[in-house]
Amino acid sequence: MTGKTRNSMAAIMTILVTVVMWMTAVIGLIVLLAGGIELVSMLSGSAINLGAIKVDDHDITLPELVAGLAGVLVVVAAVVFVCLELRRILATLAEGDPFVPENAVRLTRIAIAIAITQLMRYVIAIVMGLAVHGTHVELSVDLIAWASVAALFILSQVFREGTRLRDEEKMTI
Amino acid sequence: MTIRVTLDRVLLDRRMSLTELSERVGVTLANLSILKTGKAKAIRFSTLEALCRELGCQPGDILIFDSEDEGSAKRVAAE
Repeated sequence: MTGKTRNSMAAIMTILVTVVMWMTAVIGLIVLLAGGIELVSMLSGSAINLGAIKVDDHDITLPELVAGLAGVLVVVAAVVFVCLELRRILATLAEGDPFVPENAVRLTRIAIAIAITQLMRYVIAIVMGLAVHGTHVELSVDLIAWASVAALFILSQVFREGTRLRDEEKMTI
Repeated sequence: MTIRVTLDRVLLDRRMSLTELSERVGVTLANLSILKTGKAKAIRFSTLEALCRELGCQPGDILIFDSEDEGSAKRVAAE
């Protein structure tokens, strides 16, 4: 693969990641705003009238809404964080030198971010189960997500070792 | 490092500059400097061969094993 192809590939991926990041951020913000208005409406116990939008019909309970908002917040933050880290990795790829120690750290951070979103799912489900009587708590393990976390941790170690070997090769005269 | 590079001594004996040696063996001046200052982590047989050929010496003239240095390295590692 030539440097040019690699760079154009990195450029395309960067655009894709940036689009995903902004879409997630904007949609997340809209959902959080809507949820926030609903929350204020619920807490005040009165209908909120925002011109064309009228919030008064609550078809979900307060704990469900709070849990949902917390979940959305964590997922949006994690996706934006992962995208930012991916962009940094892609920037090193575009420069033609992705085997830097920082990329191993970035991969570890991405794995931790995904793990946190999964752990938050369990925390929210458990808290909901404890706080609200009669709530049906369903704890499912997302094997794909945990497999990605494991794969990313392994890749990060591979990167770390690769970087060390490359440095050694650099210092071999 | 327990292996020390004594390239500077050999160069001095031969009255040869590092630049001239780099041109002769086809190794960049930067890499030869890394080797000379003992920062290199390894040396290829091909490089060693070229150096010995151009300097008219044996590998043992360029590289020496310093057992005292090894002792201090072990002490540092133990600490």
